[in-house]
Amino acid sequence: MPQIDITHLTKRFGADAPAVDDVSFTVEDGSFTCILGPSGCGKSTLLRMIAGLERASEGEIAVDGTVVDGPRQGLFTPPETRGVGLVFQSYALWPHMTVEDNIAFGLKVQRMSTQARKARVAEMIETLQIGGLERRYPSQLSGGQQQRVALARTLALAPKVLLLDEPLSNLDAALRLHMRAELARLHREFGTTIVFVTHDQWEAMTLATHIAVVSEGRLQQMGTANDIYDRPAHRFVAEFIGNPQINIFEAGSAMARKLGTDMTVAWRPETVTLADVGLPARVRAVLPTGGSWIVELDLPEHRAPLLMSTNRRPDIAPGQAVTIAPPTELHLFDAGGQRHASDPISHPLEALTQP
Amino acid sequence: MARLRSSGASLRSDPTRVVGLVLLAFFGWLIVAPLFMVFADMLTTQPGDEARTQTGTGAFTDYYLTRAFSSRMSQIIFYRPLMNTLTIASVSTVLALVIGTGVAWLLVRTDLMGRAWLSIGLIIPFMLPAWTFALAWTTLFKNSTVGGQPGFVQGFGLQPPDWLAYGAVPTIVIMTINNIPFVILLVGNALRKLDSQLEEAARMLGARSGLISRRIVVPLMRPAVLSASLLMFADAIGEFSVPYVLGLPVQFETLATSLYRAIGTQQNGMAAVFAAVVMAIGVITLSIDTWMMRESRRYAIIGGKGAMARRSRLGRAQIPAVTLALTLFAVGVVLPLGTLLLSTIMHVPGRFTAENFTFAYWVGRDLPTIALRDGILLSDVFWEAAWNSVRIVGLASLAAGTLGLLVGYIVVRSPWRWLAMALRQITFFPYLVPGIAFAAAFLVLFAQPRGPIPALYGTPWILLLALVADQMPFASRAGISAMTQLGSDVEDAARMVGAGWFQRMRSIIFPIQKGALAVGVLMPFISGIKGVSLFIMLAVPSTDVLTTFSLRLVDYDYTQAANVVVLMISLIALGGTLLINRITGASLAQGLES
Repeated sequence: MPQIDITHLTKRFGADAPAVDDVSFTVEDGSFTCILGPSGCGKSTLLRMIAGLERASEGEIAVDGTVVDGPRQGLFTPPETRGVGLVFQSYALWPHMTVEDNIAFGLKVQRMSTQARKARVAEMIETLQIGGLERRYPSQLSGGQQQRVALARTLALAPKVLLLDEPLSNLDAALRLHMRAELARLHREFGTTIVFVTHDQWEAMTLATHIAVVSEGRLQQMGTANDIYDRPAHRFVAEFIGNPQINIFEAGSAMARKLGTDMTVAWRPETVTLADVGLPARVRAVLPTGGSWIVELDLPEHRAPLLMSTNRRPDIAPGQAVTIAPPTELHLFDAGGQRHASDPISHPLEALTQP
Repeated sequence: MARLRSSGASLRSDPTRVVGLVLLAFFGWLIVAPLFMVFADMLTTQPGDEARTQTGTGAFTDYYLTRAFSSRMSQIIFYRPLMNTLTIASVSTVLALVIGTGVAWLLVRTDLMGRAWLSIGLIIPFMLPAWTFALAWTTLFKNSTVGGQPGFVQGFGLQPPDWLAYGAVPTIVIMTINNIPFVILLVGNALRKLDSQLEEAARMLGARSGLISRRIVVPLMRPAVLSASLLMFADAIGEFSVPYVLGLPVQFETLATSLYRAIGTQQNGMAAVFAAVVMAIGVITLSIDTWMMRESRRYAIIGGKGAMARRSRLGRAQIPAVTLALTLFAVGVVLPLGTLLLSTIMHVPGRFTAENFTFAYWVGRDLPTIALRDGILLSDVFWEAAWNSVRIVGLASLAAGTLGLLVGYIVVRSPWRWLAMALRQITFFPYLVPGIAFAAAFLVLFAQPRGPIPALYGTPWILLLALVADQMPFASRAGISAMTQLGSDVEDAARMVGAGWFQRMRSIIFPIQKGALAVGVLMPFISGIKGVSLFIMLAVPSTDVLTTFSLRLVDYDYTQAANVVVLMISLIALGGTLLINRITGASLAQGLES
C-alpha cells in the first residue's frame, strides 16, 4: 500500500536556515494530500525530496514501509526506482518531442515493447482526452493541453504515488474548475495516492482530502480541510487560511482585554454578524465581491477595520452606526502562536456590554 | 552495503560530480599545465644554454629575465618590441573606438540612409582574417626595399616610402579597420538597449541635446565603451599576423613577433619571457575589465520591455554622414578584397593592360612557377591543406562546442560551487592569453613525452588540442548561457521516468541545446579558420593547413597564389558567420556580449 511516512525530515542548503525543518507526517494510502504554504516555505523542497530529486539532510522518508531516503542508514532510492511520478509546475514538456514522443519516452526508457508502448500511449491519450494532438509539439498546445500531456506522460508509468507541483496555478479560471474535476476523476480512476503542493488555499481546500500547512520549513498543522479551517493549530494557519483574512486582536490590545483574555484573539469574518445588542461599531465600507460582501467596520478600540463577510446583501451604508453580535467562535493563541483551547470559545454578552 | 548500493545508483543516475571532476582534470592538463610550464621555462636553464647561465639544464636561473629586462641587449630585444606593441595596441584601439562609436550612433540612433545594408556591410571586416588586410596592403604599397614582384602603386611608377609600406603605420591602420566593426557591434548594441525615455525625461526637464549626451547618454554608455576598448587592447597586444607580414622588412618587432623569432632560433627561455609578458598584460587588462563590469552592474538600468530607441533626423547632415559610412565600407571591405581579387588575376601587379589579365592563378595549368604548376583551385596541395584545415579546425570546434555545453551543464548543475567556479574560470583563461603565447606554451609542454602522453609535436594532435584550448572561452560561454536558460525541470522529468545520465544527455539536453551547440561549434570554427598564430607555431609540413600554405606562398613570393588562398579563407569565414546568423537568428553582437 503506497503510504508515505515522513519522519523528522530536514533539508539544509549550505549554512542557511534549513529549507525543511524537522517535518513529520503521514500521507495516507489513497489520499489526496496537499502541502500548503506561502512561497519560499520549503514545500517544493519537501515535494522534491519525496520525488527523490533532493536528498534529505536528516530524517527519513518511507514509501510502503520501505525507507527510500534515510541519510542515517545511508539509504537512498534514486527517483527512477521509487515508483513515484512527478508533474512539474512548468510541465517541463520536452520542446523537441511531439506529444506522443513525450508520453512514450518513459515507456521507452523502461524498455516496454513497441506494441505495448503504442497501446499504453493510446490509452493515456484517451484517458486524458488529448486525442488529435499526438503529432503536435508542446509549443503548439494551450496551457491546459500541456498539463494533460504532462499528466499523461507521468501516469503512463502507473506510479504508485503521483506528485503534483502547483497543478492549477498556471491555468485560467475556467480551466481551473475543469481540471479540478479532472484531477478528482483521475484520483478515483487510478486509485493512486496523490500529493500536491500549492500556495493557493482555494486549490488546497477544493482538491485535497488532507492538508499539511507548512511555513518557514516547519509543519504547522496536518488535517482535513475542515479541521484546519475550524480549529487552526497555530496562529499562522488561522491567518494564512480563510478569505477575507481572519481578524486579529493582538494580546494586550484593548479589544483583547475587552474580550476578557490576555491572549491573541482571532475572529473569522464570516462569524461576525450584526445584531440589536452587542459591540457598537461604525460602517467604513461595503465591498461587493460578487455573490458575497465584505463589510469593513470601525471599532472604537481598534485601529484596523474589523472585517465581516456575508452572503446576503447588507442593508447598510458607510458611516452608519451598527452593533455587532457578541462573538460565538473565537480562536485564542498564546505568545508562541500555539492554539490555546481546542474549540472556538464564545463569550457571554455581559463581558462586552460592560463599559 | 546499502550505502554502497545507494551511492552506486546515484553515480549512474547523477554523475554530475564525477563528470565535473574529469572536466576539471582535463582542462587542468590542457590549459593550466602549459601556462605553468611557460613560467617554469622562464626560470630554469634550457638545454643548450648551460654555458650562458653557468648552471645545469633545469636549474634555476634568472639569466632570461635579466637578459630581457636589464642587459645591454634589453633595449633592442625587449623594450623596443614592448613599446611597439603598446603603441600599436593603444593607438589602434583609440582610433577604432572614436570612429566605431560615431558610426554605431549613426546606424542605431539616426535616420541614416541605407542603414540596414550598411550595418551588415560595415561588419564584414570583422569576419575577415586580419592578415587579409596585411596582404592587401603589401599588394598595394610594396616598394623596392623588398625584392620580388612590385606593388600596385609601384606599377604606376610611384615609390611608396618605407613608413607607408611597412611597420607601425600600416599595422595601426589595419588593426583599426579590423576593430571598428567590433566597436560598432558592442557600442551599437548598448545604444540600442538604451531607453529613449531616459533621454526624453531629461528633455522634458529642459535639457538640451548636448547636456543630454554628456549627462545621460555618455555615462550610461561608458561601461560598454570601456569594455569594448579593453577587449580590443588585450587582443591587439597578442596580434601576431599583421606585424609579422608588415614588420619584417623594416625590423619592426612586437612582443608577438619576438616570441615567434625566439622559438624559431631555439631560444625557449627568452620565448617564455615574451610569452609571460604578453600574458601578464592580457591578464591585467582583462582584470580591469572584469572589475569595471562589476562596478557598472550597480547601475545597470538599461533594458526593460518598453525601451525604445528613437532616431534623430540627420537633415542636412545626411549626405556627409552617408559619405563617411560609404568611405569606411570602401576602405574596410572593397579596397582590400578588391585589391586581393585583382592581384590574383594579373600577371604583373598594377599593369592594367588586356594581356596582363589571367585566371591562371585560379584555374590554370602548367604555370611557369617552380613549386606550383597548377592554379590554386586545381592544385592538390591546396585541397589537401583545405581538407586539413576543415578537418582539424572542425574536429577541434566540435570538441570545444561539446565540451563547452558540458561545462555549462556542470557549472549550472554542480552541487559544488567551487567546482562550478573553477571550471568557469579555467575555461575562460585562454581568452587572457594571446594565441601566440598559448602556442608557445603548448610547444613547451608537448614537445617531449611526459608521463603517458607521447611527444605530440609534429602530429595534428598538438594543433587540435591547442585549438580546443584556445576556443574554450567562446564555447564554454555559449554552453553556460544556454544551460542557464534551461530549467532543470526537463531533465528531472526524464529522470523521474528512469532515464540514466547518458540517456538524458543524448535524448534531452543535447537535442534541446542543438542551436546553442551549433553556435558553440561554429564560432570556434570561424575564429580557428581565421587564426594564424597557433598554426604557424604548431603546424608542420605533414599537417599543412590553409594558413601555413598561404604564408609559405608569401615567402616564395607567389603573391597571386597566396592571395587566392587568403580569399578562399575569407570566403569560408564569411560564409560561416552568415550561417551562424541564419541558425540563431541572433546578431553577432549578442554572441559577443554573452
